[in-house]
Amino acid sequence: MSQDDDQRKPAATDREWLANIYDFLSEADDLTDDEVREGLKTEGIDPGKLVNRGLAFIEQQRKLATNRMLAEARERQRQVLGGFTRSKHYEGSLAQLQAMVKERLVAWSSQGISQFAIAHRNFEGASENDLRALLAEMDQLELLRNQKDEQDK
Amino acid sequence: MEPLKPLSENVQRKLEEANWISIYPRLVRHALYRVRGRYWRRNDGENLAKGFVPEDIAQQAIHDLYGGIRTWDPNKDADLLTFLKYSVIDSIVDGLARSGDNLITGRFPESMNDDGVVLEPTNVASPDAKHATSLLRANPTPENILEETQEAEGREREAKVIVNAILDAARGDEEVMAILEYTMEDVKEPRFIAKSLGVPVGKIYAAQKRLNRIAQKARQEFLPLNDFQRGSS
Repeated sequence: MSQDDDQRKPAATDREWLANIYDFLSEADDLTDDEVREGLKTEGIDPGKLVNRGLAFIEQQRKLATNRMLAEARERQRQVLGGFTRSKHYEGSLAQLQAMVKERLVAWSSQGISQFAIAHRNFEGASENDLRALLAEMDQLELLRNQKDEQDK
Repeated sequence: MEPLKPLSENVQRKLEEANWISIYPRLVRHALYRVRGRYWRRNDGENLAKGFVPEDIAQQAIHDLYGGIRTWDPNKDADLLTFLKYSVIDSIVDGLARSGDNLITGRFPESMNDDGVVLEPTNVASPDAKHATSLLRANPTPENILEETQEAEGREREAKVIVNAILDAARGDEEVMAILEYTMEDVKEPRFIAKSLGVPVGKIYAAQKRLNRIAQKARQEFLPLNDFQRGSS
């Protein structure tokens, strides 16, 4: 990696010079896979066994990372499910509930959010209970969307 | 110890796609060369602090990557190998070289402590020493000074023999000799050297391969087979 000129310090001893030589040799970004393996062999390292050990280790780390991702997903799910049980109860007359649903849809549309998820619901003909359930579902959808946004950050 | 964090789906996917068969040996090679020349309590070149050998450093880097301890942002560092080599492994090597386990402990003189002799870490790589070849000792005794001087002289003698063997073998190879001069001035980046010499970087990489063979030969003629090598074959 590049280094500023003012950070450079000429080697004062052979040991420092040799260390610089090894650093230079470590920056070998042009080696082919065969050259890397051949070089390791010259160092007394069996490249085949080395790769096998490495792949086994990586597989182990991959599984652990996957488990952590699953655990996090489960935790998110748990939070969402917790949100369902604590969903808000919407009060109001039929007309007020219809207005709330419409207002929410307009807000979603302005945010570019698809309405298809609830388009099958004919909320104009829905009962008060249906509208309350619909508003609660909309809350959950917003919760999920917020969590996804958070995750994608 | 830092807690492990889950990876984003994007990073997880990119790690799935990575060519580890190619990357892993390169990481070990990078660690192997990075540790050489740095100061380690055990002077066999490859058995480092905390019982690490160079391959452990490569594995630590992968562990830290998958564990989210070292955060890889593919948008910022597109190349995973470059990120692991220069951001993760270099940092681990520096950390190990300066770790408590790489200290030499010494006894304070009895006059320093009324309760008797206590063991304290007193010998640590200087923070501004790039290769940790300089040591700090708060209260050296004459025995410490003699021991350290002898050890430093021994290490310097070893380096001198290897450097001289490299210089002898490189004689007549203008590019390799030019590279060696640059490394003496602490210039170690192939692209920088190519630019300074006004030659394509490919020429420097080719010379780097020749120098690598020379250095390997010089080192092997000097050093006995060490533990790490025996354990790997």
